[in-house]
Parts: sequence; structure tokens; C-alpha cells
Amino acid sequence: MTGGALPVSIITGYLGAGKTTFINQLLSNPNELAITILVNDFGSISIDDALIESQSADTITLANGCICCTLGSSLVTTLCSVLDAPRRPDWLIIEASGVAEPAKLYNIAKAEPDLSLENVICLVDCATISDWLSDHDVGSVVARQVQQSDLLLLNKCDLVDEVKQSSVTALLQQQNPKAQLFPTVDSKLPFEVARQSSCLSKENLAQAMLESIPGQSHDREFERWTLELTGVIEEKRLRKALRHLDSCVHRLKGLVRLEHCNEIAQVQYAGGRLKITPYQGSDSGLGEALVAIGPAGHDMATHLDQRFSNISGPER
Amino acid sequence: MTDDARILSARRVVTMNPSMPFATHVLVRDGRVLATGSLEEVSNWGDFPIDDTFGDSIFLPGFVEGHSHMMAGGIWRYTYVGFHDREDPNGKHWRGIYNIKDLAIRLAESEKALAGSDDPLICWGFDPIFFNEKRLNRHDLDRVSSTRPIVVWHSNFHLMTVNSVALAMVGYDPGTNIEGVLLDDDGSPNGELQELAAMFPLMRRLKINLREFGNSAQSIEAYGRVARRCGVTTATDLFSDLLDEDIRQLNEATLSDEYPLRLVPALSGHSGTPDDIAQRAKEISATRNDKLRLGLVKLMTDGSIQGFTAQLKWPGYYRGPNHGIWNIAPEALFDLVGTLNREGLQVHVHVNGDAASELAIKAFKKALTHHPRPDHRHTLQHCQMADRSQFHQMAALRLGVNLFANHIFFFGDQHRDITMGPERASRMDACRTALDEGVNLSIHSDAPVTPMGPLTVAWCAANRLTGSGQVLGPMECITLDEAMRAITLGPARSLHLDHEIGSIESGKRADFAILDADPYEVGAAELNKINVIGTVVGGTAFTDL
Repeated sequence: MTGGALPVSIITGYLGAGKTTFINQLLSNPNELAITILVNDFGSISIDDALIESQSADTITLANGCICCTLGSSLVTTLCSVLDAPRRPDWLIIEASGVAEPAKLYNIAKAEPDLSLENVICLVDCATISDWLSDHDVGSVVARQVQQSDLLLLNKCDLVDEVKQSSVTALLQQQNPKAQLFPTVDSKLPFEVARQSSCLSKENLAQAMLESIPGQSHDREFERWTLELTGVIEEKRLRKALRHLDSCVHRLKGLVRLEHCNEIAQVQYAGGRLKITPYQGSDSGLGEALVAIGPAGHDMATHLDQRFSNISGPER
Repeated sequence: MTDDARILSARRVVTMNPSMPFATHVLVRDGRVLATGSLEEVSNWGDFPIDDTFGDSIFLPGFVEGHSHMMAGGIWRYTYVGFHDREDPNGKHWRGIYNIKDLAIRLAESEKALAGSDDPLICWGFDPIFFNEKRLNRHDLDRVSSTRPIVVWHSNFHLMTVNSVALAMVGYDPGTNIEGVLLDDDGSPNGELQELAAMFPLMRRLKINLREFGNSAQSIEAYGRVARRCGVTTATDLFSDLLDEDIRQLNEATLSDEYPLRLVPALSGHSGTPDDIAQRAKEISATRNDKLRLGLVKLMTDGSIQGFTAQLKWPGYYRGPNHGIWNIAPEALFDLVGTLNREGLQVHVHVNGDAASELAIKAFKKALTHHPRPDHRHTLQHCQMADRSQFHQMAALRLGVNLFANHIFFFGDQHRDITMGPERASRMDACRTALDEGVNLSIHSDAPVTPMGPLTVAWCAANRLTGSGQVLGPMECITLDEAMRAITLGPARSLHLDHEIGSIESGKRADFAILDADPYEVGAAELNKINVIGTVVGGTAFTDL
């Protein structure tokens, strides 16, 4: 523990919007953070225990509700135990109940000096949000979830057509003009954005969107390039292939098997910087491949194909 | 085993058993009623010693509190500063606090009992809604102490007023801009903290642990004393996490012959998936003894009417904002009710507003249509705004209801003038309609929200007088007999215990409320003036009040 305030993110959204999937996605991203998740919602899907183990993250379930009964005491007791533990986590994620008002939770992070509110992320099911917003019973709370968030993750874009997606976008912008909007599928959001979306500028967010590689929803704007690798690769040649890449390559990442040690390494290229590091995760089921993304219309694929045309053959 | 049978005599025994409504003697053996009747009648069972200790008193069946919380005992570790007079678990009478001056005097008295000069002074139950003066602020409390933190918790537990020392502890200062931290005209915090977020940092630093109020050994013990002081021999704890450790403690406490209360705690249905909850409820029901029954599940839907957080049908609140909340998503409620019903469990659902009761009725209707179940005894709790059409549906679905009759006295004026308006306030807690439609009726205190006291609840249901003495909805008054039933057999049935408790009759447990006057002599209008002398639980008398 550093002694500073514990960063808190609130994940909100109505039932079925993809909150649990979102948290599982976050946890599957390799990172060094000790994350504690307070789960305040109980859908049919639960947090993937395997992921939690691999991430040394901790989940605590909460009963939600009013302070005047034991419902609220669960939140108080749990937050106190997280804050007063000998080792605090690096990041506290609170998955709000599907009918919770995020303000009631994020106000705690604002009031408590030992907590610092990082962001409020609202997951929105593109296909159902307009129905929920006009629902007799829960419309008002769904609207407050949208209104009280920093980032609206426009989820399940693959389930709707372009017309529907833009009408939902307009509806959400009308509800919350200040929030950043991030169209995606399968609750995907880059880890860095989830961590600090509230301090990202629009440009940075657009960049993150490019980098997120979620597939379908961005296919109209972005180009993807994939290279399946079979044999081993020499690290020197890999570095050479990635040297001075054209700026149309916004991000490239993947796993490769290095020749000199016959071990899997993780490759990350972003913002002109390349990192090749030993891969810590388990390699079961993971193929060796590289994936890149960049804006459509810049011939990124051709550029990269050339660079990698001779990656594993005899050196020319 | 020696025969412990003895005959208890009373001035009159009101049995609530129609086949022998009144008696003078009860023959008790092995904690149960062997016979009731005249001395001659019960003596036909054999020659047993006669215990005349309560020969001048009245026996009623031990009262059953179908909706209260263990916190009603534990909260007394803090100083009471509510508007209405109350008795603490030790029988000390606490006068109501009618203004800020009274409050300052009470605080100064309590301060003397504190050891360290910086020990916090914490009070509960404060109710400025009844005051006719400026709102309490930190300056009023600073005059009591400028060295120790002072917390005056308001009666609904959603607000507190604190002194400057307490504000400094959490760093609330003129630069603070946090929702719920109220400011003076000059921009500095005035001491009032609203809602959990603003209160949390202080609760953390003062180690105010709400969970402990409801689970510690001291709370269980204090709850027993609260109950026995008002003639209650069986009480719920209607919403509990019921962790293994809690269950161990409850079992240990209730196994003791010294413990004066049968407990029926309800498992919170909000701590897992429907299948988790169902499994847990079944699992914990294996722990049982004569004074402990587990397995009931409680669900929460909306908030409270006086807090403007209840879910209301059109036209909503009369005056004041609508802050209606759901504690569970409507679809999730359908899922939970469906699963729990299918798994053979019993569900009690908190519903205050009529939109909440409507939703719960729909959920039960769906669950019972898919999976019909005889004698489920699912029950709607509070159910304050249900109208005749909803009671009709409850009857059709065989749902029970436990109405919050105390609201008529404690908040009735506010409901008429502020929350509901006169027309709808008149039909609140519609006991008459419930009975007319054939719904099993219980009435309750929701202690500590209002003080536990079944005779007071019965008085409220029978007379419907508000705090200011006006009758609110006279057509909803019930008879004395109906009211007495609603604090005995009604709740006993709602807890699946009416074969064991709720009346004084052969075969049932020897649980009595010992009163100094006979409700049937005194009449409905004076029910609340009857004193409780003590209780008998399983044949053991508890009177050292």
C-alpha cells in the first residue's frame, strides 16, 4: 500500500447489460494490479473464479440497499474491512446492482478521504436500452445510471444495425451530453481506459477505441491485420520487422515463441514503443499470433505483410 | 425424569382458542400446555402443585412479533433521543425529546457516563419532524462538547447531525463539496450529514458497526429483554445475513433456558443467485431447537413512505419529491420468488408502496401459476398502501399480509398532510379490508423503527388514532378480538407456527404474556394502557423486569 487514497471505479448498468462479462474481461487482461471487486449484483453469470485466481484479485459479495436495515450494513462493513486491511488493493471495483443509483455509491468514494473516485462506467445494452429507459418500473433508475456515469459503454453493437446504433447514441447523448461513448461488443474495453477513462481526453479515448480491437463494431472505421505464427521467431528479426512502423499501425500485440529460449513472449507495440516481455500467463489454448489495428484506408495490411513476409524463413 | 407439571392460576386466562375461550387455570408440563380450564377441570389430569404467583394477573397467549429486527436490542448501547417515550431493554423509561433544549440536557447527562474525554457520544432516534423550531446544527452540539465527537442519529438512520469535532475527524471543512454534507450560509458544513455516503467516513472512524447491532451475543440478549418487556414470546429478525457464525450464536443463545424468546430469523434473499439463496435457506434450516427456527427468506423491494423512497402507483406522493427506489430489479424479483417457491421455501417480501405490492403480487402470481403449492404462506410485509383490489388478489393467491399498523399513530399525521394526502392516508394499513377479503392478517412494529409493543400495535389497528389524536380512516378499524388475533394467531400462522404457538390450548407451547389487566374488560380504546408484567416461555416465567 502506498498510503494514498484507494482508487475506486463504479460499474453500473441495468440487468443483462454485460457488467459481469465486463469485469471478467478486465480481469483477463494481464496486469500487475491487486484488484478487489465488490459485487453488488447477482445475475446468472458469476465472476470467473479462474480469472480471479490468475489475477490475485479478490471478490466480495454485497447485499445492496438501504442503510436502515442490514442491507446497508453489508456495504459499510465490507468497505471498512477493505480500507482497514493491512494491505489495501491497488484498485477497488464496485459492481453496482442493476437497480442501484451510481451516485449513492460514488458519493461514498467522494466523501471518504481514503478513497478516490476513478470513474463511473455504465454498460448499456444497445438492443434494449431504449425499452428500459421508457420502462414503467425501472425507467427512472436506468436513466439515472446513464446520467451519473463518465463513460457509457455501448455494448452489444453486433446485435443492432447502424440505424439503431446511431439512434441509441443520440438517445444516450441526450441523457448525458458530458459522458464519453464507447461502442463495443462483448463488454470489451481496453484495460487502460477502464482504469482512467474520466481523465482521458476525447482524442485519447478515440485512440483507445482504435486500440481496443473488439472487432465488428469498429470494422467500418478500422482495419485489422492478423498473422498466425507456427514456428519459432528470432527476437532480433522480430524487432527489426517492427522498427519504424508506419504511423498507420496504431497498435500491435500478440504472443510469439522465441527461438533462443523456445519460450512464449508477449509483444506489445503502441504509440511508437515496442515491448517484448516473457509471457507470464498459462499458454493453454493460446495460439501464437500477432494482431494489429489502424484506421481504415491506409493500407496497413500491405505494409505489415511486407514487414513480416520473411519473418521465419532464412534471413535475406 | 421428574414430573415438572404444575398448575398456573390467573385471574383470567384469555386463550384465543374458541373451544375454550376463557379459563382460570393452565396445567403446564414439559414446557407445554396440558390443559386449560377451571381448577377442577385441570385437576382431573392429576394432583399437581398449584402456582399462584400470577393469580391476580391475566394470561394471554405470548405475543408474536412478525416483523421486527434484532437491532431493536443492540441499538440501546447508544443514547435514545427520540420524540416518543420508550423503555430500554432494562426497563428504564426514556422520556421523549421535544426540542433542542431537551436534547442538550439528555446529551449532557449521557456525557457524564463516558470515561475518556474524547470518547464519542452517539445517540439515536432523533425526530425533528415533530419539532417546531430551527433545525439542529453543529453549534448546538458544540455547546455540549468541544472535545469529543457527538453523533445524533435521526430516527430513520438516513441522516445524522454531528458536532465540529466529528466534522474535523473526517476532514469536512469549508472547502468540502460533497453531496449530503450540508452547508451553512457561510459555506461551512453545518453538521448535518445526509445519506450513507456522507455518513460513511464518520461511521468508519467511530467504528459504528450496524451489523454488530443485529448479530452480537449482547444484541441477541438485549432483544430477548426488549421482547419480554412487552409480552412477546416469539419474534422474527426479518432480514439477516445468517452467516455460520451468526447461526452458531443464535443456536447457543436460544438453547439456554434463560433465554426468553423464540426466534424466527429470516435469511436475506439478496446475497447470491436464486439457487444460492434456496440452497442456503435449506441448509440453515437444519439448525433448529425449540426456540429457533430458520429457513424463512426475506426479500426487499422498495424503500419507505416517510422517506419518500417507496414505490407508488399514480398519482405518487402528495407533497414532496419522489425518490422511489427498488432494492431488487423487478425481473430479479420474479426469478427469486419463482425459484424459492419452486424449492418449497417460504418468502416474506417487504413492500411499502402500492407499486411495490403490485409487483410482488405479480411475482407470486407467476410463481404460483407455474408451480402451484398448497399452504405456502408467502407473506407481504408492511404493504401499507394496498387497496381492496390488491387484497382480493392476495386472497386469491393465499398470500398473507403483515400490516404496519403502528404507522397510523407514529406517522399518520405526516401521511395525511404530506406523503399521501387525506384520501389515500385513510386507507393505509387497511386491516379491515384485509380481513374482509379473507387474507391472514398480522400487525407489527418493525422495531426499532417503532417500539416493539403488540398491545400498542393492536390499539393502533383497532382505533386508528394519529399522534395528534385524530381518527385516520375509521372504516379500516378492526374489532378488539380481531386485533388480538393479529398479534397472536395471525403472525403465528404467517410463520408456520400456529400449531405450536399463538393460543393457549392443550398441546401447544406454554407461552404466555402476563398482563395486569384484561384486554376484554378494558376494551380496545385503552389497550395501550395495559401493563405487561412478564412472560412465560415454555413454562418458565420471566418477570424480573
